[in-house]
Amino acid sequence: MPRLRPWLIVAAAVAVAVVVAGGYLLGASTAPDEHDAHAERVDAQRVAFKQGYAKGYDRGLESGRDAGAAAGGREGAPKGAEDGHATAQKTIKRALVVTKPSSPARQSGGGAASGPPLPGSGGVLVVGDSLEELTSPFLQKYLPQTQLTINAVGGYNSLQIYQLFQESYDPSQSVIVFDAGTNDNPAYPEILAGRLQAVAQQIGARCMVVPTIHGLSVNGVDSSGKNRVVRNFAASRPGTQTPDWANVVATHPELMQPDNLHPVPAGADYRARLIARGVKACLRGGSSSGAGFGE
Amino acid sequence: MTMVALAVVLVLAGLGVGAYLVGHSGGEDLAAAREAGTSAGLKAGEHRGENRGYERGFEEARAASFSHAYAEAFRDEYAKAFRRIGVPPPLHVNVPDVQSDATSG
Repeated sequence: MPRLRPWLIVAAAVAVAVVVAGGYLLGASTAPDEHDAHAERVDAQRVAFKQGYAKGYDRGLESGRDAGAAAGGREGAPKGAEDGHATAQKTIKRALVVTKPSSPARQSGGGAASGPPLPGSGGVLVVGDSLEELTSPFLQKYLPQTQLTINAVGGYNSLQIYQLFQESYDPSQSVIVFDAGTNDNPAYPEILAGRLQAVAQQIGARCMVVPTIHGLSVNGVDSSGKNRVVRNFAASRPGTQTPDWANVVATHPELMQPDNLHPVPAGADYRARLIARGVKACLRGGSSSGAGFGE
Repeated sequence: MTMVALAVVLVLAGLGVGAYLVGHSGGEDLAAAREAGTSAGLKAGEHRGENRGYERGFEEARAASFSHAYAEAFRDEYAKAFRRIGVPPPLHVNVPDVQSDATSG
């Protein structure tokens, strides 16, 4: 065995030490430190938070809905009952206040009364289209003591005017002016007939005022069919008043605007007077013939 | 001679790799950190999500339920008031648009 030289042993020892130290330092330098661990924890936390949030949200939403529905019902029912009672009482009280002074007059009636007293408190509901928009400003002048409720929208047909009626009808009203049909297609008068019947069913023995119609002709069809509907309806329902606006237009063309559909102010005034006569006849319990008027 | 040199190199390489592994293994435990982060994130997320979901669901359901219960009770009571005095109630009752004014809870 050859004898090892001392320098060779020292060199080997140094080499081993350098290699071990270098390897250790290299390994330690690439090992994850506290900062890496923190970043890893934060990343994992962020991803898990989203998953957990979605899961928790659904669960919370469901239990929140259950609790909310129960709470809403508990709060809404008593408040609705209280408000409904108060509103009804107000309506009833208003009806009684108006009825009391008017009852004796209706009973004595100046000889005009001819039918049973009308239900309601003497209020009048007026629903209609643009013609009624023009007419209604004059109505109060001819019906100064009457509580009028007017709901009219230009361009509305009888189906839409029926909706206005539903919005505004109140049992304290005694007379319903259903000023509709001008904007209906004259080829389908049965639409107007259906709405008149629907109103009549809802109002019971209350009186109706239904003016005859002067509308535009469509494809050669004029308003005759719609006016037949109005007259047949009046004939079948005693007490219904039919101010004959169509006849007024035919005999007084000067009351109309150039569009031959809407009245000029004097025409609107005239029309209001006609409708007011119908309303007064209703309130007097007047003519039950259903015959129209308007000359 | 060549064989001796090769053996020396191999021994040194083995020592170097071993030392590297020892040095590398001394760092922070990333798997544990990830697990801790996931657990904390899930817990916090579920808690926050549940609260938010509850608030949202409660508000929505309460508003809808309030309106429904209000309208039903309003119509019912309105009609009853008329019947009590012997007058037929109207077929259509306008219910005012009333919102619940309580705060979420």
